Amino acid sequence: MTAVATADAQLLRELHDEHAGALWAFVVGLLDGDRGKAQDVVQETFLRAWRNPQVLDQSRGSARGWLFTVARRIVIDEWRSAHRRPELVTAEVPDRADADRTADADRIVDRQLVLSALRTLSTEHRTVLLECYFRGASVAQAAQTLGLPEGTVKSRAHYALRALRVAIEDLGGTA
Amino acid sequence: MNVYPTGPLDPSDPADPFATDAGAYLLGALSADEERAFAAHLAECDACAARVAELRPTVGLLANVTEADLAGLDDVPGTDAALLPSLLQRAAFERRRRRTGIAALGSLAAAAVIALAVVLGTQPWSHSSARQPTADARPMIAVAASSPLSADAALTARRWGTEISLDCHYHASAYPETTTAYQLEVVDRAGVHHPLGSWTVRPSGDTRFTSGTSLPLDQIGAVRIELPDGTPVLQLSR
Repeated sequence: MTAVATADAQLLRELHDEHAGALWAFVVGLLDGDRGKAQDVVQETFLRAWRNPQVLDQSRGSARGWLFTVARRIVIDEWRSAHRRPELVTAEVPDRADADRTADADRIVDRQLVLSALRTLSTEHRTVLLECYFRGASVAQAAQTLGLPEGTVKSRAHYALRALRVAIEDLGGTA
Repeated sequence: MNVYPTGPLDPSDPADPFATDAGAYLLGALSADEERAFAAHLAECDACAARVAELRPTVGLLANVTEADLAGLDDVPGTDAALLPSLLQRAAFERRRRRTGIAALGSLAAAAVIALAVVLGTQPWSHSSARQPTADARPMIAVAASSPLSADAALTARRWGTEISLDCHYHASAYPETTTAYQLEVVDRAGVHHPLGSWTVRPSGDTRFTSGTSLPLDQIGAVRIELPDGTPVLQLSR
């Protein structure tokens, strides 16, 4: 291989090894489990990074945030162009249908961003959110379930939310 | 990755007994007495009010997921084994095309050209027999983990259906013993396969192959190159 080809391979290999798992989970989720389409989107995302390697060197924002943002835009563009295809036009009032679809897209993207961000949280942080948010436990109940002092449950809940907020922003979202 | 941010809102103020209450407050996990006390405290403590404001949108986003989602968080299927080999192949192919002076446009630009052709309902380049610019071609994606063949496909709406132009490159040096016969098919939006023909790739050098189908462009779901036994090699999804 030439030096250029070797550098290409190395950049793609590094991007793949560091980010493919997280990006794949995010995109498969966005596409409701469609692995074929996810493969197209993830490949296109990595190739865009490879074509513009300077975006990965920018000190502002992480490479992962850039990749997630690009993948999200590719998926949303596909949704929009699918919507424009004549065979999908329905009798719905267009403005209303567009608004619904945009709201749907936002909801789907937010949901997958939160799931991807939650994947980066420690077990302790996930557990305290599970008890205090999803199961509706009080601090006292969670303290008993987890065998922790109440003060620890409170501070863990606080730090879990902060870690989640930072993780969502690292993935290109707004929290 | 686990981040413990520090800064002015870091709730480590030993002088403020409420400093770590904002999270539990937003999650609705404080007891009724604690919640009343914290709410009263918020009115006079800017730091706690700022912590609540900082974390409120995050709690709002949690409404998008369920307890079952949290339990299944790590049950995501792994990436496809073909992903990296296919990426390397596409990059190598694109690099080679750039070297030969053919502009590689992103798929969005290609899609725009195709969409324009559909909207106009005409051929985008009306001097019909002239060779199409290759700029609207998109790289086909490897389906098999490794394939000696890479190709760009350009789909053009015609009055009679869709023209499919393939620009194939056979990486002979890496796969000296591999078969060189391929066949082309399109899959329509209903999932029906339409065989279009077969050709042989010369062991070195490129092959240009033009085919066509009576299917209108918007009815084509995918274009696929297969081995003679039907094993898919490359695919372009639309």
